[in-house]
Amino acid sequence: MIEIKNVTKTFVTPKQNVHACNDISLTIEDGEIYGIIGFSGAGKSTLVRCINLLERPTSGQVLIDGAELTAMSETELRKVRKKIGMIFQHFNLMRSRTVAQNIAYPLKGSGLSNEEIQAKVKSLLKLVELEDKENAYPSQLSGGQKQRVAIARALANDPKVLLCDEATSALDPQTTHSILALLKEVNQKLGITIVLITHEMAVIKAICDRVAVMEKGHVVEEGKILDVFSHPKQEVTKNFIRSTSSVSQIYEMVEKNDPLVAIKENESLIILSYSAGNAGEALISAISRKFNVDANIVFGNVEIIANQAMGSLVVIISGELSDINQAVAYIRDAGVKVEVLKTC
Amino acid sequence: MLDFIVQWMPNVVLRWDGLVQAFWETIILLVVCGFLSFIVGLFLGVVLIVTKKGGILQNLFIWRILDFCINIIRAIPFLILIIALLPVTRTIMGIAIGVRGAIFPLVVGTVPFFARQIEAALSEVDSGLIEAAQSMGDSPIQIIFRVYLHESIPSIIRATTITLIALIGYIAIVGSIGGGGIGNFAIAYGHIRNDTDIMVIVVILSVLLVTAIQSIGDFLVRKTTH
Ligand SMILES: Nc1ncnc2c1ncn2[C@@H]1O[C@H](COP(=O)(O)OP(=O)(O)O)[C@@H](O)[C@H]1O
Ligand SMILES: [Mg+2]
Repeated sequence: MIEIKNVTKTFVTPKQNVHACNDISLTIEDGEIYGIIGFSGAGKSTLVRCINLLERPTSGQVLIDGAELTAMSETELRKVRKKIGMIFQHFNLMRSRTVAQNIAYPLKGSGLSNEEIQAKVKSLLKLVELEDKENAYPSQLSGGQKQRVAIARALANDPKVLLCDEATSALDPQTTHSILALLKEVNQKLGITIVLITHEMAVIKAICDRVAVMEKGHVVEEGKILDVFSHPKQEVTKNFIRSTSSVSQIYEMVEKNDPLVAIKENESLIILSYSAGNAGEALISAISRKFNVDANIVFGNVEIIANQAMGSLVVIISGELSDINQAVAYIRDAGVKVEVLKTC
Repeated sequence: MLDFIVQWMPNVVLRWDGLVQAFWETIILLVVCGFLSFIVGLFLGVVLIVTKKGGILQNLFIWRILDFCINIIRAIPFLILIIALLPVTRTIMGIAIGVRGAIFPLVVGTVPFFARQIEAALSEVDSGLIEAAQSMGDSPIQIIFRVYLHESIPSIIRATTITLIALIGYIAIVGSIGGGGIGNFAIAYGHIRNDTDIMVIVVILSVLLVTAIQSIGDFLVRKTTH
């Protein structure tokens, strides 16, 4: 378990004091994949670097399995860091070393014999599916392959925790997908706790169990991923969710007066956002019967997040204004979020 | 062939033993001073990198002193530096002329030049690699050897090549004011006695030496770049 207690990190620069992390408290459970999302400059990297004390918090405590890292000397910390793997946006592989030598890098001084190190490297290469690249140099690898090597290197000392700082941000969507799948596999097969930082909601959506949203050095929202996705509280969270959903296009279409979302008199354009348990489609037929309105689904999408269905429907309702209002109230009562975009 | 040499380079034949001796002196100075400057310059270059602001062993006091000293020595033209150092050289080496007397000023003049180049080479190491090494639990000493030095081997070879070639020039300058080597030989016979053939052979030897060092350097850089 990783406990971050009231961690504050202030950078003192000649011009100003930058409060990169502001009184942050988080608890990350063993075996979970914990996402931290935020725009550039929100303080994500600083926070994750505070976990392995690459950055010493100005105040507050960091504990891993009850051991207080913030109270340790540099020498003690170095030992602890060997059990905390870390991967980076730009992979940070040693150019002068082969793939195998890069993976073996953290094993120096581990007490393993040469044969044991070789066996370990072989098994890690197998895990990341790069057995044929053992003697290649990083310059001969693609971005995705480099990140695989970095993951293997980070796992060499059998860590309990893996910190990922924008690990997929330099990769194309397809490669991102395969790296996320590998991280998920590492999490499930080896039981490693993963802390993953990103500015992309799609990454969070793909593999995280819980997420914290950061803005200007604060954690503004935190929780189970399904809860955060279905009931986002903060504007920044809503923006992130919108950015990942195809329904977000509707806002642009409304702005541009796209014919698809054009409405006539006595019509309203609404978005229903529903999460597990309350299927939107059933409600649509119910309101048509109950309130004498016509409901026309313009488009919708259903996503699987944390193994549960979540969806949005964009609907044009036509009828008397009072009937429409009643229908909207009815849908809200059913626990579905309704956003009225336009009314004529 | 031999007739040809005797006809066109009579003084070279006449002074052959002296020429061989001078060439060996240059080689010895190059090896001894090159080695000493490499060790000391590499050390100081590393110190510059790790003690600077944001370095892994930041210590601005040490950094400022070192930075200042290097700047001062580099600001003094080499010829003036040798002369200014004469009393110190005499105290340390017991003699201020000849091969022995040349070693001290040569090392003092070469070290700051090499240290700056090492500093430049090491500062090219991506800070991400330092961060990665720290995250893997490396100590500062391990980072110096396993990241800074290991990752910049090609750049260090390049810096060494450039410095050795500059050192040949320095050796000639020291030689011209009594420090031995082919510089001394060129002045004593080629210049003062106006023996053109001596001058020609000294130039040829210098070019060969520099070309050889450059080729070996280039070869090693290619070998170590991945
Ligand atoms: N070493 C540093 N010195 C001064 N300011 C820093 C330093 N590191 C980060 N910052 C500042 O702290 C804030 C948060 O940075 P960072 O944690 O890198 O954000 P993120 O990873 O979310 O993009 C930024 O305003 C950044 O400029
Ligand atoms: Mg960052």
